Amino acid sequence: MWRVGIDVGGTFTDLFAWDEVDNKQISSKVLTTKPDRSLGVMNALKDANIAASDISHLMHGTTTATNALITRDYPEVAMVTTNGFRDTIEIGRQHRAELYNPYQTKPKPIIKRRYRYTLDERMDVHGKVVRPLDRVAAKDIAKKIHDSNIQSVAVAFINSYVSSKHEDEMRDIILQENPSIYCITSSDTRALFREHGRFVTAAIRAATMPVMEKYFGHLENSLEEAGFSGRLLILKSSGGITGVEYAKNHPEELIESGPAGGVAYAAYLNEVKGDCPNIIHTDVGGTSFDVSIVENGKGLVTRDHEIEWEVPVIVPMLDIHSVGAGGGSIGWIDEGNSLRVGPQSAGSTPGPVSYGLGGQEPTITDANLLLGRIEPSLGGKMMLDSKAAEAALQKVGQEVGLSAIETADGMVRIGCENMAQAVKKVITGRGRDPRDFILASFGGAGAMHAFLIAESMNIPRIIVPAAAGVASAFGATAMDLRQDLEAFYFSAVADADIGTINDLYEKLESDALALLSADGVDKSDVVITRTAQMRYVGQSYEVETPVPSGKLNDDDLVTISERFHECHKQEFGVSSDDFEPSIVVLGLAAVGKTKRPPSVTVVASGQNIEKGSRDVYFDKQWYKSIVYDGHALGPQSEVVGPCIVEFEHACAVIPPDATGTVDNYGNMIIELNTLTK
Amino acid sequence: MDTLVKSNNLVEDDSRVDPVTFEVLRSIFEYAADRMSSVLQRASFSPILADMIDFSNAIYDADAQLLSQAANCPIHLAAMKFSAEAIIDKYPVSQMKPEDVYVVNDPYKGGTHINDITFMMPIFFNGKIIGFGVSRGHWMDLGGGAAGGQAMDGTHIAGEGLRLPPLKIFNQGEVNQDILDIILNNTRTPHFVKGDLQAHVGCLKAADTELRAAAERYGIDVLTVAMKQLQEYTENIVRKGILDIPDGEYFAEEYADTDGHSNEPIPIKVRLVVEGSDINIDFSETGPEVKGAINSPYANTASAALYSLQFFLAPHAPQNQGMFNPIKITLPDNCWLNAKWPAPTIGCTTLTSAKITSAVWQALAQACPDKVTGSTNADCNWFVSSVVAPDGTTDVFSDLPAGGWGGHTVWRRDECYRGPSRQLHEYAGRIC
Repeated sequence: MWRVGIDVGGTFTDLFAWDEVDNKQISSKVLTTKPDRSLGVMNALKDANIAASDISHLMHGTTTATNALITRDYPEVAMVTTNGFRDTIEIGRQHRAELYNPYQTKPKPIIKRRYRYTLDERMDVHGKVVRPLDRVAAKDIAKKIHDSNIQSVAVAFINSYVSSKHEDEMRDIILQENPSIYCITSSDTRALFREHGRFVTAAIRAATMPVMEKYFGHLENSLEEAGFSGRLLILKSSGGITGVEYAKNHPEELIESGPAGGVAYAAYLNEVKGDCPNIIHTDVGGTSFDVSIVENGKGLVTRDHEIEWEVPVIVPMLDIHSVGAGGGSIGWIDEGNSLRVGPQSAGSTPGPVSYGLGGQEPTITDANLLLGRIEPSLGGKMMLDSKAAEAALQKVGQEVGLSAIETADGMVRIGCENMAQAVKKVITGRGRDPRDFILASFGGAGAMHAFLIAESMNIPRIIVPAAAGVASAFGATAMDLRQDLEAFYFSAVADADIGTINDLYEKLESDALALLSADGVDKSDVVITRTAQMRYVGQSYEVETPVPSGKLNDDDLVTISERFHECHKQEFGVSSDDFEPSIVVLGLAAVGKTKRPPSVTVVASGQNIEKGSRDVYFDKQWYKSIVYDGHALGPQSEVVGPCIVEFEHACAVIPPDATGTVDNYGNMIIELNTLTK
Repeated sequence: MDTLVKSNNLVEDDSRVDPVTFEVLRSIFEYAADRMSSVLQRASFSPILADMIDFSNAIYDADAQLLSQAANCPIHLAAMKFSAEAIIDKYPVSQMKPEDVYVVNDPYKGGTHINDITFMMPIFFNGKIIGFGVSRGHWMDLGGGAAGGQAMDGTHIAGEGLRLPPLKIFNQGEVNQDILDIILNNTRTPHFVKGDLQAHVGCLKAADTELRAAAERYGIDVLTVAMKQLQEYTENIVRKGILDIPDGEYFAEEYADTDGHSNEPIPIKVRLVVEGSDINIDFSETGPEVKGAINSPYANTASAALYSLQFFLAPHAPQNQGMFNPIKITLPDNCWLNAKWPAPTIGCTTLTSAKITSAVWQALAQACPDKVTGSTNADCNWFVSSVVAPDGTTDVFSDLPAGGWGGHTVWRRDECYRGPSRQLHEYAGRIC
């Protein structure tokens, strides 16, 4: 039986599969289908020649929820909220996205103002009813919803994180009048304080639920018709997978789950190799660069990710930073006469100048072509126009006194520096030392730029994974089932009640076990990691602190406080016993271990490893560089830079003075020997 | 050869680094200031820092000239420069040691109002100062006649809180307990003070790490040249922006409704004199100091006038010394926009700066009507409140509810409500 990973991206749908019996592996790449992306999933299976009836597990990553949200393309959705809070999701946090742009506009609110209803109710912060729910007004709202074409409703009241009583009452009234629509509450979405994040997250769930139910419904039908009877599992933004039924009801946990597969792949590399617990996961695409880190084998998680300006999703998510830098990024001269790269991208239309599809402005791809780092026939797919690329680079460069080749070299360096800034945000920006990490490079264009990003940050080693071209699909098959649950507990550590904390963790653990068991995980296969969101009394932001497992006693509270001081010091460079630590949220990640793709020792011919050679430009001069066939290089074979190593879906550039070694599993390890110590 | 330290090749002549290295360093300097802000926001205690982003952070070059400021709080823009100068006037750079931290909040020495407090730390590399980290934030309460220093009916600066001259608050990393004790004795919220101080230190340390990493990679020579070049870069952009404004004199008038003591409107009269790539923002026709707490010291007026222009001259340019060079500010000696001791100033960053912007924009709109937006909700609606908890702890809270943004010729009607609709003068920007 096959275990299949399928990742649906903007352009391509990638598949990776391995056979549980004979460990055979297959990958494939087909075009993404729009608007119904489930067709592309079926196409990928066909392309790989895998019968649906032979699949035991299908792990699926989808951007459908993210796309629906960003384009505001979902059925009409309403919100019911407490009097006075109608505009909370629209007012946001009162900051401007760009400080000095007088013409900027805010993103459209997720729910239109005319469909945001308010009524009289009030709960205090202890869960005591101050004003009862106005049931007459509630029924009136339910009728209005009935008379409109609204298909989904978010009920979001102030202070509902303490008691869901009023929200539940309101939901029941709406469902009584409208039994066939979706109605969710903010307390069920995430029972956490700070109403802006909670309301927006509830709005996101309400808006995307109908979309995802429809999408998954189509997919399930198509699979069933094809004879599928295995488990359909969906990738979440926290870096785990979950059953499709849970995914339908928690679509906010799927938002921006795109890079999660790649991060799982990075963690898998350490499981197999054992020598790279700290990995920087980077992915260079056509228009954007994504980065996140795996630390001690685990993806680093954040809770204040914003999908758009002041549109936060308050669920635990992999801390992924993106910048507009990729193969399509355009080089230009700004008003101060400096050479800039991006964030504008030529995309696929008009595309790079060298593609001859009408692009006029030089892109990173054009620059790489001129530098000799890209093969001009793209593996026989099309012939790139170097002359046109050179002319475009010349034109831009002459404004600042650079030749075409200098411009190309400069653009790639500047583009990589932009990428390095994003890497810094997750490394030095979170108090980590880059020298403790290895840079893993995913995506077709990643390995071409990795050495410059690594040099910029003094990272000595790079790994180009064997399946870099279908990384997310591969990673999907290496992912654990995972639930991230949280309970609000607001107390200074000194005043904390250990009994209550134990009760809350116990409840979270039994809830998590129940959810995982519904996805077929045996209790004995579950690993639970506890955390607490903590801060000093008086602060407004929290730092995630590890919490011991088992029944806690008062000594454990001392340990937790000590750990918090350390975590605060790591993130912000300072900590002090002058301040009292406090707990805000108790959380846990419950992970149900799954089978991993086999770490197959590569079998390579070791024959015909050289495909030829070409001139490549590094550091102000041309070097005759050998082009190797990455798939022909056997385990432990070493190549010396400058050289190029071509793989099926990726291409690694190894600069002068660096060396590349293929490990036993087909990954390429590049050692940069020239860094400042 | 160590390929990463190519310092000798990068400096093309005495005053230029190559265009690529320049762009790379521009981005590094920008990131350094952004990271300072990220630390300060998350580690601070005063809600006005953590939630309202009422702070600014910047890297200064070795000559203490502004190099790169994070885009957070406009009203700190120019003012921080004068605070840094006030510190250096008193404490010669040659005597500074690593991890010394200086503090000042005197409104008449580069400050705005008492609550905006500035910290400055020299950054050393191989025993030489290569720059400074400077961090300014609005502290919730530094004493005075009312919570948050907001003694709006006061007539003397002494009623607005503790006025600190330039002082060395950390001596090579060791806090000067005497100074800290004085501050702690003069605030309603000592619990905020210590925490905010710690956050500012974390933020200065971040500046130190980032700038030293750049020096390590590129060498001091390249860094120094690139810093000067970055200031020229901004100056060029600003000058180009001014060249687009037709030469001439543009006059406008705006009013504060009251200074809290009389019901007489208080006019701001501004004349923009544009000549080639220079502007003189001339407030000569504006009247004398007023009794109430809306007087604006020089640094605050300069900040307000400069950021008003920044929106339309160089919204994307790095904020640094280069933008001050083409813009001259003329203020008469006895003027409510050039407050001297002991004029009260607590309202200067909110009400007064809003009115200054409104006046400058109205004048600019005469020159470039298609470019300039209407005035924003031209006041700041700042309120402060304090609560005393059952245990006797006082908490001070303050907010600046946002208002509408001015209209613009290119917006469709339905877009106006989605405009920035933000507090113009304080608090903004993306914190990463």
